[in-house]
Amino acid sequence: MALSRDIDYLPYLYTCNKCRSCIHPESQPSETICPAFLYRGFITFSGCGKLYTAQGLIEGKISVNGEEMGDVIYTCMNCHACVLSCPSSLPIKEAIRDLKETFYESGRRTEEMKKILKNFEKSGNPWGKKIKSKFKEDGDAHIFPGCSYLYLYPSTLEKFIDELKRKGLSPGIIMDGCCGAPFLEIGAKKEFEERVSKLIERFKNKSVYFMDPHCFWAVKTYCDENGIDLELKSAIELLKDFSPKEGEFVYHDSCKLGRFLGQYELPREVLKERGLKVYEMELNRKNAVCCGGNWGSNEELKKFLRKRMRDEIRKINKDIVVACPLCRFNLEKEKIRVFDIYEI
Amino acid sequence: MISKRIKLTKEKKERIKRALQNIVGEKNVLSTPESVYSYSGTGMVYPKYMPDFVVLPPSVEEIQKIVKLAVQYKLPITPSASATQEAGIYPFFGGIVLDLMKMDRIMEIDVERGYAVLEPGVRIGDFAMRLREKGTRCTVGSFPPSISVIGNYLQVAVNSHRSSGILHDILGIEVVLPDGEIMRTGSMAFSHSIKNMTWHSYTNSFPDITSLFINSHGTLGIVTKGAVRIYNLNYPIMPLAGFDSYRKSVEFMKRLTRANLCQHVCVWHWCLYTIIDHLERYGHGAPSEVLVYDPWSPPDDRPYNVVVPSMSGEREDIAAHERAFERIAKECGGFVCTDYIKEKFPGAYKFFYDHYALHIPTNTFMGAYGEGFPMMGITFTDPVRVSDLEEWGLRFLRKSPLKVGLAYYSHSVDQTRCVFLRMTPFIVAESSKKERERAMRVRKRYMEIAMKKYGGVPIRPPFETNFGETLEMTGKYGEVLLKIKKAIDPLNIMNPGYSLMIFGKKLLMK
Repeated sequence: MALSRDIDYLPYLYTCNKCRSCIHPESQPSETICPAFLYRGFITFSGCGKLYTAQGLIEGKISVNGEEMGDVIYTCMNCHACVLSCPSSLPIKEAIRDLKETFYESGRRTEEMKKILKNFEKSGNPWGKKIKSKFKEDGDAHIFPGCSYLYLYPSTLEKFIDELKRKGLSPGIIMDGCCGAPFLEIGAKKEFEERVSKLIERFKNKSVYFMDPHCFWAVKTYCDENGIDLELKSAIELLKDFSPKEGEFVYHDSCKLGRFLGQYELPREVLKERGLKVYEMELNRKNAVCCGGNWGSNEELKKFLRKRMRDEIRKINKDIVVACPLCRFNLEKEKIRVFDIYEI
Repeated sequence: MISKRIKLTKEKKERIKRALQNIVGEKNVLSTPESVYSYSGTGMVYPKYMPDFVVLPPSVEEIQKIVKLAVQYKLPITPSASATQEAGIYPFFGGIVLDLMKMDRIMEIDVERGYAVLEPGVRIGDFAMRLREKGTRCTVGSFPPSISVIGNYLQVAVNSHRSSGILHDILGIEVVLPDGEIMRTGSMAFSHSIKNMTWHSYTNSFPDITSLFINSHGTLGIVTKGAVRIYNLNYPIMPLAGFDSYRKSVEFMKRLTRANLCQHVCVWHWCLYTIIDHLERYGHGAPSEVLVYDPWSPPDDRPYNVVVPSMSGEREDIAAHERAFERIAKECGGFVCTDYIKEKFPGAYKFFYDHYALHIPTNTFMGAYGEGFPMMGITFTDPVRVSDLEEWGLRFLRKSPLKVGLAYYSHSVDQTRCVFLRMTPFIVAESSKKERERAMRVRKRYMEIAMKKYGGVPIRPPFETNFGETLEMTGKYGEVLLKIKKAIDPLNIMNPGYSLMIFGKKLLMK
């Protein structure tokens, strides 16, 4: 069967050599960076496994209706570790997205997908919640908090706004609930494009600051693919010159902020400038292992990853600071103290 | 005797799946087509062969149980470590693929005795780093850091940066045989009766069984442990010499190795070191100058061949060795070009230094692999005729209808009693499937002539094409090997499809 984007990468599907660099990085060969491989141990679930799965579907050797196809495709955090580690720069990113879209278009749904879609149906957002606070939309700094901060962590958003005001800024909060990132993650291409295209109409002629790196990634993906030139930034930039604080934290790299958007140093610099002592996870930056916070991925995998992260944090014996609400939400389930970079 | 692809009824498949899950746990068995497809072969152009099950055994005890189960149900077993491009990893007849990469313990690093004992899942990059911490090293090749040490050492000519005179780095192995019993080789054969035996000796005064498992690709049993040689990390130097012909390079290799001046030495054709330079700098792709299809005429700024030795020892010795290297290079018609290559081709120099001086594997080559692989002609060649093979080989491949960039590398084996020559054409990534298939046919022809005219012994058996023809060329040797296979594995449980490929249809005759 044809996959929607296979024309772009079909020849490259036959060049994977199973070198396993997508699983164990060249710079730290003793470590495993692929979360799905860590969980299952079979190459099927790794980056190269995704290429093979795409190849098998295109050649008709396997079917999208296969009993475990959902598991094979969504036992993946879409964390991008494989993409950055592949020495041949093979199109793993495209294959993952293509597989998801093919699965979604076939009408099949995993349990995680069903939950997200039900929440959207119920409340227009992936959390299935209602907004508890109202924020001012007009202002000089246009901030897109995304649904996670609006629905889940409004008090963090309020504190962030207060700090910005103290700095003399006039923040305007873009209240649109969801950018469509969860749709992009589960392969609902049409739904994603409908939502994000409406949203970016509101972004024109503005510098937009994203609090949630997932939203930043989703909007940027759409803009890049459609040749739309907008000024999109991480709201972490606004944290510069915030009031000094005391404390010691271990910083966890968000996959979307780090590997997708390349912002490894900005959050660290901001934390250090504020006087905080920052410790590192054993695997960090490009080689950081996903904590399990993402839309639409296999729930068991997410659980496995957050427990793994909990154990590592306990070993380091420091509080953890994150720059992504999904990392925060995920890790909070493990009853460890998680700090949000916007709320320290 | 398994002689073709097996067919399992739904009920039988379910029964076997449950039995496998009872042995290794539910999560460690895959059985649906979509979950096992990644184990159906390599990413290359070769056809795929679906296994029925993929199993992750955690230890040798589980492997024994799985083998006994396979015998009970007459199921093929294909063991696989990192499973890169070798034909031996294809589950031609279905059955069980045993993915051994979960067994990744370094059991011991014995610096005093000069060996380490590893499970098959230990990765070369990890292993090399652990050895460095102890002032030691292992042999590395141009393969990437994330693949199996044992899986590679069990094949000839993959860990090419070996020490002079040492052909294999395996001292001894532990194998689960097709009857489910365990055998150990070398000095550890005596561990059967002596408790504190070690792996120190590759021989045990009887005919050598370890070598039987080199290149066997799981057709005789499942290697579950291996003791491998480790070496002191001595003070290294890496002078480079340039030559305007391969013939001169081979003569230089011969003189260096026979004077014991280096542990290893390799000749790099200009196209290939140009590509390496590019890969080290940019990650993937190839520079335009190597795609001009003229392998004989390097641009003016680079030598036709660069010869790279691995030289290490005590500082005083090494200084003298370097002077000898320079003198012999001149006498052979070459020149020392270390500083020039370092400045002009820093990427290539880094690759050489990582591999030949530091002995650290890198994934540099992965960016250039891909579709060129089916074309690689790899031979162990007669040192007297190898230069003729290089001249003829380039002409032959240049005349072929393939649009490829031609390149090769070549190294001394066994003090240049034998020369490894690997023609490595690069097909552009956009090439069609048809062109790739044509490439495979060209390779077949290349190998036939290389063997008949130049004494080039094929290192890898041809893929899927000749079912025992190569072994038949060996006469009585092949007959003996066949008898051994039949005696050890009468049901042809062990990698039966590949067994058929190398042993041929005679395997199936009573």
